[in-house]
Amino acid sequence: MKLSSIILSAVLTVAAMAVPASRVHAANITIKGGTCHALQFLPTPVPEPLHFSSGSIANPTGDSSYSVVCDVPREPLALNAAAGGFYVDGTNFPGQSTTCSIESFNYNGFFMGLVVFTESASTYDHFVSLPASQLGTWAYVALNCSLPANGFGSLIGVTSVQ
Amino acid sequence: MKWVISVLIAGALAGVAFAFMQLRSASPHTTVVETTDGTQLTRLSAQVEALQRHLDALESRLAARPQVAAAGPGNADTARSVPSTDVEQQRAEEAEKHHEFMAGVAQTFAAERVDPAWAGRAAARVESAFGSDQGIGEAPRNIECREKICRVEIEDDGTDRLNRRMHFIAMGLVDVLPNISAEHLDRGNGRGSMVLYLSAQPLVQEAAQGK
Repeated sequence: MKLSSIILSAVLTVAAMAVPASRVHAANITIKGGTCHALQFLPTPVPEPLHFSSGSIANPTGDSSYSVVCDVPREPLALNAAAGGFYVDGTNFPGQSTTCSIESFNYNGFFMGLVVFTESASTYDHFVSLPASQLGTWAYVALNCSLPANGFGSLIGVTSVQ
Repeated sequence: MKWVISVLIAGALAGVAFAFMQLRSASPHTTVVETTDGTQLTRLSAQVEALQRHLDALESRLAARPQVAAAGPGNADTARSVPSTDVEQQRAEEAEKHHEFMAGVAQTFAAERVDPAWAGRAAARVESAFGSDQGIGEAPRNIECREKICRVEIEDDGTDRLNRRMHFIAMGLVDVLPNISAEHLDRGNGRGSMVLYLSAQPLVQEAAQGK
């Protein structure tokens, strides 16, 4: 009797484990600002950002509209997640500010949404989120930041939170 | 009672046999530990461990699928590892999910009352942000603001300029409407329009309420 119970339990355990797992091993992904590039528009090319040994970057020009764009790698969101989050880290010299947006595009390149913010703190760790419908497996996410002129601020990096 | 126990044991043994066959056919290289005394429990334990390893490997492969496929069309590895029907189905499901979300946002917007003071100020800011942008300024657009949300429908000439300029347009609205959700509407002949909903608060909750 005991043996049959044990065997039954084992069979049920094996059967339960044989069901395809729906959970996904998601993890946060952090990238340094050093992986970002100058946002380019025709007709005038702009220089690439200054790169520091810490991996952060800064605006090499005197133009405060100078912007950089960064790829934001992600892992799929949890099945029932309503939104996905991102932390953007950077610095500003006193009196300076940085404006960044996290943008989402679908696999055809069509814009799906963004959230934009301005930070004037000397050191910031800014959290933003986008709706889950804009963060599907096939969506592309980019971080754009307009950095203070003359290197008076830096972009340290961005983390996608799962 | 004995009859019941016999049936249960027979069923259990059939289940074990089935699981064993599944395991053997799914992972031919899996080693099943055979014990010297040959107890079924030891065998079952080994089978469970082997199944767990097999499942872990399958999960890893599944997790890697989208990343490989995201490398782009024409990638030979992608074609091998992800059947195109799966990709098309997943993309269609995601597009539908976003469409449903936007329908919820549209419903919330439609249900808002009009606050004339706020709507007037917000619409002026939105018009200024779009109008002052190089390349977008002359694009025909329709702006409507109500209580907390503004809706913008702007003609998309298919040149990708709208997609490229959104960061700069949004910068002009960072203090009033920092959250934007958009949907592309295809009008055919390569032309279409983009419908944007702009709000001070994230639209996640708005969409949920609208459903």
